[in-house]
Amino acid sequence: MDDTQLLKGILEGCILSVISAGETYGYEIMQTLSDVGFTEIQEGTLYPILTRLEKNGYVKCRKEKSPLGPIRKYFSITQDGKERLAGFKANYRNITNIADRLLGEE
Amino acid sequence: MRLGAYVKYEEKLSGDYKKAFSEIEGYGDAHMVRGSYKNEKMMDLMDLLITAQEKEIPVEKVVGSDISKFAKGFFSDLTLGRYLFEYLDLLKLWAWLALVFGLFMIISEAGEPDFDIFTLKTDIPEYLLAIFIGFFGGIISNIILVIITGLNNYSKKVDLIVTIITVVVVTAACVLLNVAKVKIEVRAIPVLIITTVFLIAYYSIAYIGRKRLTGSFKKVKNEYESSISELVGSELKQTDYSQDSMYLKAYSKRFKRKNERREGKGLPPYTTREFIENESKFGRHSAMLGYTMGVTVVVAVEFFRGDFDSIGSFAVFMIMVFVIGFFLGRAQRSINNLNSKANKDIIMVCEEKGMEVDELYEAFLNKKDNDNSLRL
Repeated sequence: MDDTQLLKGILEGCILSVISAGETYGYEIMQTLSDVGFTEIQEGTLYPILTRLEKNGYVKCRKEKSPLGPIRKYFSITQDGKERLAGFKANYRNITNIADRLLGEE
Repeated sequence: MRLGAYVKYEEKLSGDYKKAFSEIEGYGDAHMVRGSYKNEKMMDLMDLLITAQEKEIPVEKVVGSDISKFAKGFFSDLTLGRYLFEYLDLLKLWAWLALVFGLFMIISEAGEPDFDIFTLKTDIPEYLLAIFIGFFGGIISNIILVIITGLNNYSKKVDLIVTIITVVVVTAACVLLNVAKVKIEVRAIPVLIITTVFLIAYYSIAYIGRKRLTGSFKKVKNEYESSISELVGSELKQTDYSQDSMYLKAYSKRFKRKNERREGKGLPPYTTREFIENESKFGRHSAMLGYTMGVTVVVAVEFFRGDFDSIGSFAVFMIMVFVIGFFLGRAQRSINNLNSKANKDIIMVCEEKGMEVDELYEAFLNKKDNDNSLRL
């Protein structure tokens, strides 16, 4: 069974969770996700998700020249983003609890 | 003219990172990614890849093994609305051209005894009409194909089809209009009204949008765009030594020749700083003198030949001369800025090394490949 659909469903919440830890940028977010085990996110969807989060008001973006030259976007979570994250975590726990009962804990 | 500022950093990428960047950019080019959207996305990608390169992370860990899959996801936030918006900028340019054209029509005829602004009209040449038809035909067929196939499925094949359609339409239009001796008359007033209304609407939306986004009506510099002179200027600091060598060679020759003449006259030799400052002053003055003399000669010749049959046509001619002069002046200023940047760098390196420019050039020719100490 293809797990990419499962990943797509939770990726936005996971990215929001990474940003909630402190102001960060694209590469750092990708690295954090990779470090915790999300090794299959090289689909390029990180930046469109960040754009969507910003458009919905869940994160705000600050642009600054990076130490290596290119303009870098630094993302930080907004109040709406914190509420959204809290809602995602609650929904996630609810769904996983139900799924665990159905699938049986391993 | 402004281009993507990301281009300045391309030389910093190397090997697999550079290859990945080019492939993703190529995917974008083939899938209608362009304009301000492209500039911003490519800058994001540049930051990502340069950082990964710096940290020596294998490029596959960043973009995966399937570049087109990465690129598809990367550009997946390009909406049809954003894609169509990029065309508005192009239409704005055409509107300005049409407005200026309409004003020229009026000014050139003003002063004629039978001048009537409301009936004033002119014939559009067949080739110009064919170009209009081809241009707008190309845009419309492009938009229709994108709507039918969807942005994500737009491909090089579709690009090719659109290009062929445009070429065929322009060629057919040229031939048919010429054979049929079709003359299209354009009245000045409708042209002025349509273009003025469009431009007012465009700038109103732009100002209101800017106020909503940034809180100010003032246009801020788009950090994702650079002018050509900025991009070329930054090239002088890149890894391409041929740019540095070009300046040093030219200056070295003239520096030696000038100092030989000064020695012959019993004058002390120039230092590099004195020489370059002198060259810059002379360059600016001679360019200004050249333009002024050129304009004066052209106007005088046209005037004494009796080519102006009314004050209006003389006014049109003078406006064209000054407009051309304005743009030539801007180009000259860009060149001066480029030279000024290179000049400052040459003076700085010479004074740091305790060399004059001819000595620096000699050292430059004999430098080892990995020696960056002589970089401008």
